Amino acid sequence: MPSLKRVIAAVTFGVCASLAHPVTAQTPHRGGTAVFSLSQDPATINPVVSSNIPERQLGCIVYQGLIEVTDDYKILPLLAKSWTVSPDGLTYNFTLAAAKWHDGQLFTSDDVKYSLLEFNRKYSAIFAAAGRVIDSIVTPTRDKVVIKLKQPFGPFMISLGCMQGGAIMPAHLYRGTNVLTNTTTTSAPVGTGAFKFEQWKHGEFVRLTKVPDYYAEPERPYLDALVAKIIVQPAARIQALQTGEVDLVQFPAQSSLPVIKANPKLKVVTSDVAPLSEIGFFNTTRKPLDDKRVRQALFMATNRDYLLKTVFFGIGSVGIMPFTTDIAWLANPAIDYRKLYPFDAKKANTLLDEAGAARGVGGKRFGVHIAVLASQYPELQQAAQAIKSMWQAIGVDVSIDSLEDATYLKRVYTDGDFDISFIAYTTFSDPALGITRSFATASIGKPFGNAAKYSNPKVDALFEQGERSTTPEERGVFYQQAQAILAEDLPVMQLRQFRELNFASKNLMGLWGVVQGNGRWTDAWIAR
Amino acid sequence: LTASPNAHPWWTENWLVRYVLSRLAWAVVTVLAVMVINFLVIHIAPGDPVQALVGDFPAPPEYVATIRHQFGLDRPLPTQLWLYFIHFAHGDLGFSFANRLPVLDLILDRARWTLLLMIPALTLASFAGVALALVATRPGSTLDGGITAISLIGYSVPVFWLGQILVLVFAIDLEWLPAQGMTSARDAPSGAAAVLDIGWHLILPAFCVTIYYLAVVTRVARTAVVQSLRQDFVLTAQSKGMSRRRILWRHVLPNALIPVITVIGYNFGYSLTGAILVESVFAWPGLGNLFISSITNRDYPVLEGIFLVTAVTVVVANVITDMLYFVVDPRVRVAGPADD
Repeated sequence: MPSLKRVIAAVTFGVCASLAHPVTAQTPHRGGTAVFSLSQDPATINPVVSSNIPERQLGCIVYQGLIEVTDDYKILPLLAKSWTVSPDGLTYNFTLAAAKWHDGQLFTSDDVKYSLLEFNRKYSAIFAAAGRVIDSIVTPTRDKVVIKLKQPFGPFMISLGCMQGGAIMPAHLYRGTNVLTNTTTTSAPVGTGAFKFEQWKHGEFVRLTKVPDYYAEPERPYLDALVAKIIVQPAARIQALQTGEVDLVQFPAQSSLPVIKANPKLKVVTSDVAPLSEIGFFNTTRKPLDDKRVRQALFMATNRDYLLKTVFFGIGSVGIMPFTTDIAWLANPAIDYRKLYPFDAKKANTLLDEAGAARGVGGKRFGVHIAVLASQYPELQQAAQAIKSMWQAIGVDVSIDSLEDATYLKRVYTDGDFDISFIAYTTFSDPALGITRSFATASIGKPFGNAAKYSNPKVDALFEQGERSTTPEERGVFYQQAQAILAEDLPVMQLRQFRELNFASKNLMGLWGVVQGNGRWTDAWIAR
Repeated sequence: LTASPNAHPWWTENWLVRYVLSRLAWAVVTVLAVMVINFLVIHIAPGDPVQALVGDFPAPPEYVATIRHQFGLDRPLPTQLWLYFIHFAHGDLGFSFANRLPVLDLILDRARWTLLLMIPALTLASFAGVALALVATRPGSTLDGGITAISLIGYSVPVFWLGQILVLVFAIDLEWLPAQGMTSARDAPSGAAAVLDIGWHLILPAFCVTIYYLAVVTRVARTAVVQSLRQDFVLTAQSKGMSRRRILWRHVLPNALIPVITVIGYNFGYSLTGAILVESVFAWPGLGNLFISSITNRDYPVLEGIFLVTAVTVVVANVITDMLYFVVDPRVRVAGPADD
């Protein structure tokens, strides 16, 4: 029999849970305009030719991929109504939805063929990997597409999503033109989404309006219009949210969390963008960091629970293995950093002594330079400050270089002029798209690639096998094996794993929890 | 420019023509030097405009090469500089990578909004600053002390801090004014409502700009007025029984104007870029915000264009200021510039 305490607890929980979502049961209101902020004037409203955030925030509303990916990695139909995959994982048969381009032209299998072969695989940074494995595309009818692959590619379906660079482009507007100067790229995008492009005032806003007869769901979208307001300063974005001038701030400065929580008109929602990690790359080609014992010691001297509580505002969790556990099928249950590398200055000191990094004058062992991409992740700058004092305790002298994007890219990836570098990496929802790059030999020297210059043929082979298998179950095995090696070699230290937050007006509803990406605007509505 | 016997007497003075021509020649040399230095500094600074265009994730190399070629970034730096000057000679400031628009169009478009912010603010600050200086003409009085203190504060307060405070008080707490932007994008008003809407958004940033320039003008004007008040002609006028107001207007103000015009001219010279911080705080879509995003994007042509326009404005404002001396001060007309 359950104790009285438990019953009360259960009832209280139930009441609280229903209070927490009091409006979700309401019928969505129709009409109105939602305003969300962009951190920069986009260079284009096209999610393929740029992998930047504002470009995809807007581009993936106007344009669509064949499919959408749910938060638990299921594939939902979008421009493709249905599909079958051959048992060998080489042939994909798609049946297309009866969609229309925003200029009234019919969407056909020819668009898919042109787009994937001539556009996405040439211009999308994220889709490029999937593009390389496409052998041929056949279009037997206007609504049938058959894609043949050269070899099985695990993340192929996911790569067809808009956030992964798979958005389908209009062949009738692009074929035979210069993609980069075509007005469809530069000023007037034409997609298939539930909202179409209306107006772009550079430096101010982009306005999208609802499509009257949206093919996928006739009753959608609920909103009449969407406005993306360009507000470069993070503080100004939060202020605009507080005054009600914008309804949603995506990718906010996490330091604003207390302000948002204290405001009764606002809410904090976990975003649906791909899971990410904040990590530190050890430059494994530099002494003494080329010795894994030194890397392990530095990791053990880092109080990550403290960092999580303070500089990361409790958002996310300390990573317990090399890859984020937010993609569950990658997790290797045998690895737990809390047991392998608990915060323990004494053990760290012993390891450093063993590695021959003895204390010199004044108790100093050696000095390291931490390069931080501070312009994008100010919290990492603070983490570096905290780590500086943690590592001083074990005789390691830290100097911090806070860098902005361009300088960081050159210093870290091109010149390799750093000891440790702090940055956040997204997974793009699949290890082959977003995780391999941190560790694979092929990604050394590439921007946002393998900054550690870690090279291990065994790991490379496992990543390749993981990429070439099809189901998550098969693929998971290889990634779990890779994790075991990486946990031991430790070219990268996990600072924390997390999901981005959205700060929003309490009236903005329906946007979250359905598919991965920057929210599903088709379902969004404004409560009155 | 040859002297004409029918022109205004001082205009025909030979030294003046020489003076004007030399000022203009120096102006051209200055602008050309600025162009070369900026071009080199911008291109040598680390960073890659292509990265900003294709995004963080490493894009296919052929795509990157195409962009590089399209924007001429694959050419050697001296060639790029040479082409920059050739295009400039044809009135072409280049093409913005990030905005995919001709730089000149882009700058002119954004400059309108900066001027909309700056011209009213600078004008107000200029007149109000002189007026305050005239009011504060009794050194040591409470009023003078108060005005001096306030202008000192206005001069020293960082505008981004002041901007934040204004937003916190008037936008967030009192909910009287919008916090950012130039228009209410949600409702997209048109006609008279659109004009009112912009005016509504203009108040806080314009106030923020005005405070700073008001302080600058007041401080300079006050010093000039106080110095003029110590001159013998003021004593003479007083002994003739002239009213204080008449002394200020007829004798003190004209004599105090030279430093005031210098500082006002200087301010107007920076009108295009003087509001970078304010524009940033209030997300005002002017040249300042364009400048910041162009730095982030390493949008070379836009940065070169903004530096060029700024250099030209500063130089032109200085030339105009020099010319104004002749108009307001008969002594300059008669004596000619000291260095000539």
